[in-house]
Amino acid sequence: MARHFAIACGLAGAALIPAAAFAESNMPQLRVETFASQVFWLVVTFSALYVVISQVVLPQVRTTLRARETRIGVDREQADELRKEAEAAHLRASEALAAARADNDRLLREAHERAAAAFRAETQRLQAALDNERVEAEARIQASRMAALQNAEAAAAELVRSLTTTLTSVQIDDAALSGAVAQAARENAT
Amino acid sequence: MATDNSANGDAAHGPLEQFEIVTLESIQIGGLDLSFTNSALWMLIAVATIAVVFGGGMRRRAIIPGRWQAAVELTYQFVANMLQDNVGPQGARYFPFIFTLFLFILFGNLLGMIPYSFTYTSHIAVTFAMAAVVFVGVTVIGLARHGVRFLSLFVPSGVPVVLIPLMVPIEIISYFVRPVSLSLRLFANMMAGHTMLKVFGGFAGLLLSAGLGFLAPVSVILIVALTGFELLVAAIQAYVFAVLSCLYLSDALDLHH
Repeated sequence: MARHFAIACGLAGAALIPAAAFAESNMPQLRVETFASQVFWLVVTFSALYVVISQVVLPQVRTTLRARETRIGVDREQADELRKEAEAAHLRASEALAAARADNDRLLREAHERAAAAFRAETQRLQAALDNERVEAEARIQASRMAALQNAEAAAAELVRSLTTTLTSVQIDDAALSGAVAQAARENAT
Repeated sequence: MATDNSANGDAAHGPLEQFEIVTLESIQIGGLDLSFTNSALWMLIAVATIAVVFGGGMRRRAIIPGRWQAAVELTYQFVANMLQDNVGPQGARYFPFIFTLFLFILFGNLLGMIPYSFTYTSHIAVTFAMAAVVFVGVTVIGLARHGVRFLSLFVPSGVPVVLIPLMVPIEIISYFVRPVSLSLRLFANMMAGHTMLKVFGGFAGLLLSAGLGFLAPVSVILIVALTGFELLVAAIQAYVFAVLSCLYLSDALDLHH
């Protein structure tokens, strides 16, 4: 069987190779007696390789590729989740930041207003106190002035009396004296 | 490999010497010569190399692969994509076979580029046996899957009725030529490439002995260029063999062609 087969393919090979020189120069490929051994060892070695490939190599490669795919899938899912979380956290953070900023503005404004109000109130209070003090002081000054004037009139009257007594030995009537001093003071004041 | 010089006389030094099959350990079973030869030795070396490269690359099974593991995974992805593109998801069952086929041919071709090694893919017996397995396997799969309807593969759709008597024989012939063309393409490419390298190498020696040694570097430079080209051919032919196997499989699984 193998021999017929070999002859057939040998003939086909010889027919299709243009270099006729090969055919007449005893081509080793056309030695039919070697065919059985070649095909036999081909079957043996090829089968051995098939077993090694299909039972050992391919399962190992498949396991590795599958493990890698799974790993990549899991990693990608994790990355997706983490990204979503990060985005949510970012959103929360910016919201919190905006709220804090608004709070800050409000607090600042309120503090400012409070300070301004306190300032106004304090100013008013001080102003009122000062006004009071001024009025009181003016009153005191007025009183002092009146007292001083009266004292001055009395002193003037005393001076006039003693001068008159000393110079003229005339006893001056108290009422006339004070009336004259008062009139002179009035005239001087104007 | 050491070759049997005495048996072939002058021919032993020709460009075809490298294709000589040499018995290393004679084994005769039931009148069949199943001797362990240099061809068988290099098949074993290829299988061992593949096992070491692919087993070793996957020994750590890291999530983040190193260079070695990445090379193994890239080869896996390359063949997986080839199967996916040409056959579709239903081809996944045949992935181990296509992967083995691709690697067996690729490493046979590449190991053959080592000087004094032997290229088992340069022998029609080997390439035809592989092509025959693909052909028979694909036909059996097609028949098992579609029964008699599988024969509709020979009647191209959209062809005018008048042309059918002409088209059907053409389709049948082209179908049965598949294993021949598949095996010849690989065998002829490997054999031609290695013969060419040997011819240029011999030419350099010839120039030296003819006192034209100053021309020998030209020949050597050509060998270097050809070696690069042959490495490319080695990979491409393994790819072509695998892709065509995928296409034939796709034909058998899906009759819409």
